[in-house]
Amino acid sequence: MNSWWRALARNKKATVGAAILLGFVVLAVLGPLLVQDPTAFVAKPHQPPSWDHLFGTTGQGQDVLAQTVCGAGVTLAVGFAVGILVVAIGALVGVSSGYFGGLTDDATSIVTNVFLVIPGLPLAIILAAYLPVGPVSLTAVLVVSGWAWNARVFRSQTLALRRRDFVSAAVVAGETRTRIILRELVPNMASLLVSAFIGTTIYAIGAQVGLEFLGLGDVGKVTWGTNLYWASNDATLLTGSWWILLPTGLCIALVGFGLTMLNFAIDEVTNPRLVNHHAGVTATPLPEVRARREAGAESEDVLMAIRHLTVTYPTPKGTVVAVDDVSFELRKGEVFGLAGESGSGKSTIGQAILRILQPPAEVPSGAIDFDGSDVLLMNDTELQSFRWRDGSMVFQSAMNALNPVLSVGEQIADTLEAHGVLDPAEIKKRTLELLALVDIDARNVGAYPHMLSGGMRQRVVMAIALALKPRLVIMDEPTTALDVVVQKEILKRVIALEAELGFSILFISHDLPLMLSFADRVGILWKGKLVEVGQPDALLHGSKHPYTQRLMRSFPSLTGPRSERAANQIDPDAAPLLTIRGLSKSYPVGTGLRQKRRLVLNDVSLTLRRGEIAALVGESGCGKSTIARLLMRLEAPDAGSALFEGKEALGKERAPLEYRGKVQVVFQDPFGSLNPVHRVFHPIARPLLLHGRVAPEKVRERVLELLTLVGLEPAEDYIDRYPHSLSGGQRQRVAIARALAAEPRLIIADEPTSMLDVSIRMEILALFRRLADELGITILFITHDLASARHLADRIFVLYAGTIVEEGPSEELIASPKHPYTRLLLSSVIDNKAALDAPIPANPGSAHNAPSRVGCPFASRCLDRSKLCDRERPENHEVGAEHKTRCHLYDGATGGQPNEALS
Amino acid sequence: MGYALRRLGFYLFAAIASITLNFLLPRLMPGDPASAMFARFQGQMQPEAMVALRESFGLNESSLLAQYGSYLKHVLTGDLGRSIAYYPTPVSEVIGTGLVWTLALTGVAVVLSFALGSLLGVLAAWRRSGWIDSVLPPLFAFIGAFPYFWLAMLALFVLGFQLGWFPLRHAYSYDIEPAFTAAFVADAAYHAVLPATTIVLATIGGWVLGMRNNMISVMGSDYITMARAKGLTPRRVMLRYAARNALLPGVTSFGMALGFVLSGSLLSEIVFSYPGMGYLLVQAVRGQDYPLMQGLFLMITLSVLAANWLVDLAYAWLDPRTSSNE
Repeated sequence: MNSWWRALARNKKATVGAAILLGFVVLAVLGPLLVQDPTAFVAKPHQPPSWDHLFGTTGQGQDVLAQTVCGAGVTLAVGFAVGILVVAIGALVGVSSGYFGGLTDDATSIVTNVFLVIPGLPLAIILAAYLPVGPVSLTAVLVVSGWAWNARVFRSQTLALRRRDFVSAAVVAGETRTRIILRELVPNMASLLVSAFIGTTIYAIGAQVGLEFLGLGDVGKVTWGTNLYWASNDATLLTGSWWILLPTGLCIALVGFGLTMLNFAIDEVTNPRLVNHHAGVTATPLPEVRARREAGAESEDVLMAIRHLTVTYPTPKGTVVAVDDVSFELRKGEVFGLAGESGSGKSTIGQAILRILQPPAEVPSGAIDFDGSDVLLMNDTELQSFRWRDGSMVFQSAMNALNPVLSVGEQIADTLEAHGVLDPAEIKKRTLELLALVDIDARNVGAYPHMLSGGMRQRVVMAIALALKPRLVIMDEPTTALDVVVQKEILKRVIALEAELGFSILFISHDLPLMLSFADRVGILWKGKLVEVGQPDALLHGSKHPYTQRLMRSFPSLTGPRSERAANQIDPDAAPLLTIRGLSKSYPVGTGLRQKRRLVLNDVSLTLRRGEIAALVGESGCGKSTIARLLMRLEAPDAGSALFEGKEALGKERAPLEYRGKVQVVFQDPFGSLNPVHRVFHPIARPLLLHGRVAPEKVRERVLELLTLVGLEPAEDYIDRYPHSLSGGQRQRVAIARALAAEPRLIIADEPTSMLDVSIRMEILALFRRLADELGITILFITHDLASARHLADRIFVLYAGTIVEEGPSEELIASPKHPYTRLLLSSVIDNKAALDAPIPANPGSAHNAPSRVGCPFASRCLDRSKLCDRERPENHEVGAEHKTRCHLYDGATGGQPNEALS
Repeated sequence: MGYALRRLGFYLFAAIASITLNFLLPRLMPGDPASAMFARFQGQMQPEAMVALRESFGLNESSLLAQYGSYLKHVLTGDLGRSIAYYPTPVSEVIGTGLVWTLALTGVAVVLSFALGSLLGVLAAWRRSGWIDSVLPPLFAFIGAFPYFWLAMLALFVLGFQLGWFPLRHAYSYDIEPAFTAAFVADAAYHAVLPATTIVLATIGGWVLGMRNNMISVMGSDYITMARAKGLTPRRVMLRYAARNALLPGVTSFGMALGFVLSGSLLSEIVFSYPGMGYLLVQAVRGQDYPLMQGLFLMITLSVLAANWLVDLAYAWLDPRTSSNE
């Protein structure tokens, strides 16, 4: 936050604005001492400016200069008073209504919205007409007519902040509501408070002057508004006395201009993109220096050759080299994988090929030879034709890559039109062909992106990429945002299309095992350098570069050895730490009469033993995070119970402090789970104080110990830093230290590694294991990744559409999965060629189907479905030692083999 | 169409709320509003006018609820009481023609300002650091900081009095009979040039800047990069991809700003003696004509609510996500 103020102080517009305002405040305070009495009749009326009266005289013979100077006081005072009052009221109403929610919030926002659409000035006029005249009632009138806008803005800001993980973390730490509002929320609103104050003051000055101009102020007082009122009444225009009008108007405009400049500055500091560092977003800068074309004939089958490509980003701290002298060739029909972590430059290379790098990126040297011509040297016309006709791209996030306001068909059509296909019938035909190519029903041609699922959107993006039958398709993390089952569907489709149409693919991903299973060759990028290129077999069995080897080890495997727990501390016969029985939860969908409830958890039961690591595995939307939120007591369940150490644990948000001390959480997003306004010390120290774990004078010492424990050494270097100066992995360690501070029995880790770089993931998993081994903490590890679950957990629970379909010891469950859904999940983990080639053992469908209370949730996708599956919810069958599954295949079966008679 | 009906429901609720507010305001004021009001008029008012005033406030009824009931009945049948300044003309009749002039003038000016401002904002963002981007935002910020009516006075003084290019007052020349003829429309348009220009000048800066900032946010998104990568012409990327999306938040703030702009334009009307609601409002304030004042408040509010509903419909039409999201 300090940096925000510093940036504001450095902003030129802020300086101009503040100087103007300061000048007027000084004028308002000191000015009246220097000029004559503004109400005295000192000369003849309507006198133009002269030495005696620099600004002339009014229609009644008063000094215009004196009136202008003395008018500033009341006008500015009323303006600032309204600004402060309205922001205070708006913030109070908005923040409390947004934070507490419920009926109060509903009522408040209706009142706010009604006030928002009632025009302010007419309301103010009515009010002012009834009230006695004067600055105080003027202030009151403007507050009444102006508060609603601020209440609305503060409410939506509160709602946005409230959803952030750092607020949930503070709740779980046991903070009181007042403290959360004052210490966690409000400090994040500094820029909003200032800009709301400025905006309101601008409004207040304008409306005030307007009301006074109408004669609704105290016309006996000297203010800028009454100056203009008299100017208008005294026939200024008819007599041509422009000097009466000009000074006051200019003063009002200057104050308004100063305030507006301050608000511009705040916008720029809060949203740095608005500041214009570099000219021209549309033009990609051409390389200044060019590597000489390499001598020697290129082999026939090379489609594209990248030679000595370097991409740099100038920053205030010096030039960052994002891509450093990279050379490789892409052959015709080849799949070339580019692997690397975030910041390795892999996406930058992809963007450089199509010349869609965003400024300030520069290409100081290199060549991109595409079938004989250098892409970097093309002029605009050549480039426009090269793009998409020769090379196209599938972007990572399909939701963001599609224009939300154009239908699927329109977005395919305009691609075709841009490249000369103009006949509507031809466009229609080609559009339908392309949709069929990626398995999308022709009915969806008029659908808008938001109406499609994530996998369908990604297929639409692929259809657009293939629209002009390009020879090169760049795929930038095309499946990373998708669930594993969908990922496999998409990849199989990509491979089939490549075989059918014969284009080359540059496949960019962080997922090395995935690429090794289907790319012809893979290049490893590290800090902008291409450190190794090879065929998958060669890389798997004889990689030379240490970074390649490290990257390969960063992916937990479904087979092979896994690190064992240090000592067997789990006693299966002891009383469990947590027993969940029959947990159900649903959320409202839609509004008004058509509102329905969507079932998210359906009768979930599970037990956690003291000291064990249990993994809860499922795809997005399966309800795994809901279980976490219920256990964190951020929400209450519809039905069911959870006994924690023998006591009921679930209920409304206000949990006993004792429970808060025992159950802690580590969130997925390390960038959202730490409050940006607090130093590292704060989130770790608060639980220590709240739960009285150490004496207040020892807090700092203990925080240092905890930082050391989670591997942030030397701890002194970290304790006073702000989160923004830490890397993702370091932040996640701080979040773990915060969870440990309360000395909990149970830590809920909600996808704690999925947003981290791959090379850090294993370290964080190892840290969790160490906490369980050394401190005896029970860990509920929530993940979408079966391999990580196997790697870390003692037991695995598989969740599908709100139902636990299978549970068992990790090793056994992975080695011998029983439930068809578990098998589907396992078959979707692609770490070798055979896994990708294997058919998908399920009907198409989505895990996002709303769970129903009857029947098996997986029935519609199950290949072994029987009539029973639609009617009856399966029982939980014992299929091995501690291994259970909910599937009708095992009705009456013994020894863990499916009952043949039923299938 | 569920969305349109839901919004209509909200605006009907807001309309009832403002009618109720209009009823309650005089009764919530400190002291007894009626007698305070009568005291001011003591001796200057005709007895019939006093009776009319009493009636229009429903002060003849006994209980508050009964007063509210008869007030509602009157409002719903279009009876807003009788004006004092124009006694005995009914308020609704006094407002009638004024409403038409105001809606025509402000409506045209506001839409023009929004369209022109948004277009300039698009161009400013598209050519960052171009002359539009460097000159217009601060210039309009300065012009927009003047009160509307002050700009109006300046324009009237320079372009009307000094140069004589434009008429000085009213909405049409006195020697032309109001009728739907080409001559009359041309004359009315000529009279509207100055008032409309001041409204446009005072408001356009906000639209330019808002659209520019929205464009800059939108231009950072993946679909713009993809549109460029697809080989679309820059013009198409700018209009169909960037501007089309950047317009959405602009439309929302357009609805929000309507009330504010209308308020400002009422003050401009006064300067030009334009026979709209603003002119009536100042007559009502100066003549302490409370029934007229309240009638005007109600009509202005209802117009703003109706306009807001239209804006919501336009938004739903522009953004396909509106109807299915809720």
